[in-house]
Amino acid sequence: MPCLPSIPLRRLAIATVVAGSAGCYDEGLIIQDLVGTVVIPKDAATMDFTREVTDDNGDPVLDPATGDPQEEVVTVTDVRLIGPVFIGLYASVRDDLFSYPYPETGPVSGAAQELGVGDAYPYGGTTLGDFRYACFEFFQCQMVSGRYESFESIISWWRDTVGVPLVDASGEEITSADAFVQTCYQLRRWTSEEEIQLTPTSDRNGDDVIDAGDLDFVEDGDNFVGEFVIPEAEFFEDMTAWAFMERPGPTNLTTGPLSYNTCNPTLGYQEFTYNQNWRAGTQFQDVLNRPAAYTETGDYVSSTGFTWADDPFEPAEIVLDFEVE
Amino acid sequence: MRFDSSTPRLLGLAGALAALAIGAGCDTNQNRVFPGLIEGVPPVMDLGSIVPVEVTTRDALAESVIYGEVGPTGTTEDGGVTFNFEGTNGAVCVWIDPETVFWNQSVSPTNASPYYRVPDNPYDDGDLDVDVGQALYYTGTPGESVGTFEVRYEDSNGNVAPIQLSECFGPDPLFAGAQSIGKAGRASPEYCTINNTVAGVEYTVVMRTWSTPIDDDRLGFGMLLMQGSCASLLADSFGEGSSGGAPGPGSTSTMPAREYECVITGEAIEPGKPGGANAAAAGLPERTWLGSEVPFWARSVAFERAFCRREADNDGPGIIEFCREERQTVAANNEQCSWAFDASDPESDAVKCFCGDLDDTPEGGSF
Repeated sequence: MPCLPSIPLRRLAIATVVAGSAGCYDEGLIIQDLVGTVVIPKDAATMDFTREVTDDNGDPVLDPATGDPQEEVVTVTDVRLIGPVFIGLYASVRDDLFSYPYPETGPVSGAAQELGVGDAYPYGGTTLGDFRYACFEFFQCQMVSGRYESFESIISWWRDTVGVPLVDASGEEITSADAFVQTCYQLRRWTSEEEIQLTPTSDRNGDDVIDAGDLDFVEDGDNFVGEFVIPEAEFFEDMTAWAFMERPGPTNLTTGPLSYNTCNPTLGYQEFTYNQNWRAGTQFQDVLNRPAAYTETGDYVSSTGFTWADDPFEPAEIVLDFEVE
Repeated sequence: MRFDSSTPRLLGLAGALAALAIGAGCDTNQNRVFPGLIEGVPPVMDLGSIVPVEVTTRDALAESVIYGEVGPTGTTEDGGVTFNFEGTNGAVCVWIDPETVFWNQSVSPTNASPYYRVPDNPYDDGDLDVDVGQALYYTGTPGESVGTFEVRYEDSNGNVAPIQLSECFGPDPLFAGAQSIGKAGRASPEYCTINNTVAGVEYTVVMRTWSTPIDDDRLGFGMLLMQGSCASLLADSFGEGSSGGAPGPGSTSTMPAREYECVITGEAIEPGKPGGANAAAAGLPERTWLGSEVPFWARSVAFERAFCRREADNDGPGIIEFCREERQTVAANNEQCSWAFDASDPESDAVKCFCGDLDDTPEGGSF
């Protein structure tokens, strides 16, 4: 190659090192996968359900005085009653903004004034459980991921506990897991339960069994505990991870008996097939910016959150110990 | 190539020229490509403090409109108009209308809009963008420079985020023809409803000059500051040409967007006219007029009303008829239209034409 000038290899190496090091600019950013656990007391996953009393044959028991079917109130504690848990990274948590602990917010002006709550300007965040497309309009804004062990448990939960059996687009009751799964396969051209993403399909806890122990939350004494990861978060000293859980309740009857304020039924995947035209629903985009716009009585928040001093590797523990009243 | 004794000198000269060229390329002052200052027409105007009026009739609306005229800054800096008002504990509407009327000609071979088949004169239109916020957050200096409502928010950890504290936001309760977020486009009316003003709190309205008319760089405008929601303007059929049935607050209008042009008319101001006496008495600055004293260009109001008029209305010609009449009049008088020329220039023999050239316009499907 006669066109190349003759440069001694040692000089070339030195020049390469100098040029390379000049490109190493330290931006002063700490980007870290933040890990931790969310602890939810069982009270937060407890609800009362009213059922008709039935006899051994399954027939309703009538009130002797009125002739009406008798009802009973059953208190249920179940991981399926844990709504989506929103975890945000904030500058701090304050006690003087609302009747419950809440992240510090920016000025209440402009759009914030119209909404009635300032923007908390989160640094980042994630969720433990989010709203999922679940193949039936029946589940619009009511299906939270990481809560159901199996398709059978979905069907039985709605039929036997909630008291509202799952029905398809024609109003026919879905009674078998196969019918559920086949509906998903048909609508989305899916070929495996991994693609449906409603039930655990991997051995998360390493006990060689795929079961309730592989859900987002598992029982631990008087609590449910779930592990979270906020991937590649920007770390600031003294920032606080704060979380809240929306509990399904009678005031959230936007689309169904166990729906959520944080879910927008006009967004999410749109099913537009034959006689179906509906959206699955998904989180409002500003839930972490303005949690107060969505929290209601009965929801649970963390009273202190978890504050990192200077070690981004320190696992966080966020306890949802404060019930919003 | 053959080298001789002059080669090093030539190379040096070439190098110097290259350096000069590169150096010249680093000059980022682009003021020269912006229109220059116009004597007697302020680039930045402050109207002072204005009280929102209560409008119940079309006549009251017309007499409450403040008209003005602004020009270019002569630099890359933005110009515009500002004023303040005090919160009323209720809704306040700011409605602005920059000079004059603009539309895109419809040339579709199929389903062409018959209403827009005629061409507009695009040289006489400018654009103002409206924004409103608490005066506390306004970053400009009234009468000197135009600012925004963007401030730096610093949280308790010392992290800073730029945030926008404008009060102009939210969905448009009317129709896209006039937008509430200050981006309606050339010559189109814009409005902003501040739903819950706080009594005693000062608000600043800024009307940023996005563009001035190409022909004379004098941008006339009309502005109405009124109590209540802007939606009520058309709910009471204040838009001329409207035959009623306008929406109430919060509803979606199906009214043709062009009718918003006639909430305020007369904003095409003839250059060189003295400021209004009523405006001066009201404490407004030079180059402003109040209500009917505005010296609008002859036929400009008729032009706006023709634009707003529905085809079914029988109270005057629509825009197609207006443009044909204008063309016939110019031809009969053997005159020349003012397209791209300043019709107010004493040396110009062009007459003010509000429509485009009907003799040089494509038929439907020509493209």
